[in-house]
Amino acid sequence: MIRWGRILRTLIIALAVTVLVSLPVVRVVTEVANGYAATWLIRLDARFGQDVVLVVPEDADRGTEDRIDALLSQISAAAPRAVAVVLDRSDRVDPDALMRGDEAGAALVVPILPDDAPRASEPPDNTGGPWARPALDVFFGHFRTAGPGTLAAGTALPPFESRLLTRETGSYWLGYLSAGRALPVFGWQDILDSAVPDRFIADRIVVVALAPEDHAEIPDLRLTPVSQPVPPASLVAQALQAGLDGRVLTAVGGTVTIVIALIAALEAGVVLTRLRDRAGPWLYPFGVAVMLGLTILAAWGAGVMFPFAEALAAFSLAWFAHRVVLDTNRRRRQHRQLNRLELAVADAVDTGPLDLDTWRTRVEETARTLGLTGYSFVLRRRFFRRPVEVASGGSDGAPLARDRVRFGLGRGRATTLLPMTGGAEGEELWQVDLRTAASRRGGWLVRCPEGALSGSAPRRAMLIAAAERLLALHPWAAPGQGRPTIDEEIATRSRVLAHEAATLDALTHTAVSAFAVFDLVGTFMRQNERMKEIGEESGIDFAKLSLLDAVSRTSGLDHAAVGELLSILIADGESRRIPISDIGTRQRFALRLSLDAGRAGGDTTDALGPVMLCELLDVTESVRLDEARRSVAQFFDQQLRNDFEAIDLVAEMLRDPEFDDAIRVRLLDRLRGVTERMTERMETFDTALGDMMGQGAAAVGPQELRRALDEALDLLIRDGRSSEVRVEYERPVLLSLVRAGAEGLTPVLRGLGKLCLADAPRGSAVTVEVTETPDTIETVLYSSGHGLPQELAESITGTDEARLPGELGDVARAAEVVRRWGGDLTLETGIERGIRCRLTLQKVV
Amino acid sequence: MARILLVDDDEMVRDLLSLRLETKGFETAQAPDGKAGLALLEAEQFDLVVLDLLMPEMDGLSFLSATREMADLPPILVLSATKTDEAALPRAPGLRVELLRKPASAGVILAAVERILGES
Repeated sequence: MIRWGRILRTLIIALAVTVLVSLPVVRVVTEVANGYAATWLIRLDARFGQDVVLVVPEDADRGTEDRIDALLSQISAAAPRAVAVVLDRSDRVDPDALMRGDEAGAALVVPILPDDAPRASEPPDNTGGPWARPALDVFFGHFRTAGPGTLAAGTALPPFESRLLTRETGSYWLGYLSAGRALPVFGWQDILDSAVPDRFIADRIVVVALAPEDHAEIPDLRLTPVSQPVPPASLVAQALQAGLDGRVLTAVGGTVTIVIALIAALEAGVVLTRLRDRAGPWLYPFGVAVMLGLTILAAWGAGVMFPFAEALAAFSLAWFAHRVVLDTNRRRRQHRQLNRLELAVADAVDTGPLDLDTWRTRVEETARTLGLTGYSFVLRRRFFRRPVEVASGGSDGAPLARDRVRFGLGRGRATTLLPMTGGAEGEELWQVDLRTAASRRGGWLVRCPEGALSGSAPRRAMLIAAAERLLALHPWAAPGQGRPTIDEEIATRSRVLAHEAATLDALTHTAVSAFAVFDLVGTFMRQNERMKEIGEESGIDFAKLSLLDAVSRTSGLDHAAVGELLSILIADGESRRIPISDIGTRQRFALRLSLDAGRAGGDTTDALGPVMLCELLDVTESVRLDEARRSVAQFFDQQLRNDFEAIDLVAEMLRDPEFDDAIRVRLLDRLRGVTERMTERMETFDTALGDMMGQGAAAVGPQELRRALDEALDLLIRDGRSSEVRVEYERPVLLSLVRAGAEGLTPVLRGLGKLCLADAPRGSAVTVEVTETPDTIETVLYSSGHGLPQELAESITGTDEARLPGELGDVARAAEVVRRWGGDLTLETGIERGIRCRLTLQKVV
Repeated sequence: MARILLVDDDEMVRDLLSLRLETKGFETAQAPDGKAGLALLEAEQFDLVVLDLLMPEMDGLSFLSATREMADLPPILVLSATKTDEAALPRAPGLRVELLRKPASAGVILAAVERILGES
């Protein structure tokens, strides 16, 4: 879309800049530059110049040079002081008047020096100061009759007037013959024929005219090959002439001029791009306006020598190259690269400044985490402005130290930590002198219990890193003077994101359920998908909480306790595992806090360190196993209590004299029974304990059927909702354990349940019943759907499960597993008879 | 002759207590859990119930709660190895419930039974 408003605004600014600013500047600059250029050229010409340069038409015969040489000899013999060369036949100048000095005729007048005269003299010193044009009035050059460039008659460029040189003043001007002046013109043939009247060859001025014959065109002697090589001095002289006319650029040719202009314009475009990256987008329209204005001025000041169209074309090309090639595509590539990197990493790290209230809270929480008893954070906002104390926590007892912090901010090149005197008894006083890479300066004066910082190097390192981080997050911190270009930002951001991605990749491959990363001052940085799910399920949005809030809400501890815990963690670097209360999720979790110290240097490339890692470990199974162990132990404990109770009763009754021998025999028999029972139970208990110490998923041992049923049926109920099938189950009161695999009972039950769910029609129910016999526990799941052919059911339990799809494969696998456990799995089904799965497992006790 | 109902899941303990009480002239009946004990209590007349708390099917606390709806209940002597507070035991209005902590010797149990029956 063409933004006409923006274009119009740019043009208006360009014109205003041109008129008000550039015009006088360019005039002065041009004057001075040309003056110095001319001075230089004069000196060069004086050093390397030749005496005579003669240009002969191409078609001249071979005698032309001889005749011209004769003319020159004649002129030399006359020893004139000057030679006036008339270029155009139409110009009529009275030579007599010219010689008398009565008329300020215009001619190319070149003085002639005697042989013994110095070839040239230095131009006089410029007494007008650096801004004044050097005096070029006194010039002692050499006689030249012609030369490419000096004959401008055929260029249609207006010749400049020059003043006739006079003997008295001794001053000479160089210039062109102006049109309209009357001068006697001698034809070129006259010169060749040596027919110039003597009176025009005087002792002062010789007027030589070069004019074509009637009806002939003036030869374009610029393009005429010279009879002898044109020495560099002639080019220098021509450049001198062009310089005096303010035509420095054209002295070297139009094509080269355009190329130089284009290159300069492209460079200007590149410079503008770099400037805009650093200074901001406001510079771009201003720079464009200045360039446009200078271009217009240059064309105007130089007249037709520097065509306005060429200037605009060069500038437009540069603008186009800048905007389309250099700027747009490059930025688009850079943004695409940045977006790809951003998408590669989950969540964006928010490293922007905080609002003041949040910042103050962070300072307080950080101080609590670090175990500080008091603090005072001082920030230098602007040069020449007083430092501002923005956070305070009771450091009034050290005024000298505070003054030192105020006035000594950021003197060094890096962040420093210094112990200070003036602290109260039992306390330490430390000063953190901050100066970050972005030229932000501040100081943090802290108080802590004796030994808290002096005795802990990690705590000191964390204090430095936290102070730098807090300074960077402050909303009032002055922006860095050296704002990076977009290239530097991309490079830095790439490093940061690569580091984050590598760390995240390492984190996601660890055996953790969910994690959230907080920076050193408790600001949330990122979390993984599992943590987001837990947050949604529990209603705790970790992304909106600080570290202290997150740990407090999850663990149920207050901020003070969490702060103490974090402080200890920072000091010893050991991770801590905190059991957490019910947070409203189906699984049970434990919170593990660990610290990744990183490098406490504040380098922006260390994006993820130092950080605090909060992990929610899924301990559901371990909790259940603990509870199973506890219930098993309680069960055996109760059984053993009963045995001991029985033994006590028997022993007491044996001591009772009231009992006769017959009763004593019975009592001893009971005692024997009890001890046998105890022995059996102890053996079973030992076996059960050994099995439950964790032999792996393949281990077969006592398992709680009731808990496995709970878990399997939770999942079945959820699955059943989607197909509108109810699950009816009455939780049995079981104290018995069954013999099953350590982690296989739930999947077996779930597989049977899924088969029944698949069979059950919408609106019906899948029923689960559990019955107990002396040696076994039988679990039956049945549905009232279409059923399966009995032959298929029989083959399922004895078939290679790899060939059976879906739920049938699950059941076949379950049957194989149950047989390994010493149990039994049968399917009772038939067409329109539903499915009845009967799982029989051995009781342990 | 007083009839005592013994409700305990451990058969050995029931036999021994029954033997001890029978030598003292009491008539006993046994139930392996609270459910069987309630059934016996509803069907027959007893002068005392000796009740264990930790039992399968229906534990002692559930048994006590279930007796709230019954009338003419005999006193109940609760034997418990846990730190149960006697005042926290559920009971029907007017029902006498006493708690005896385990381990308790046969003599102590016998003395408590005789005392309760004597006071009743």
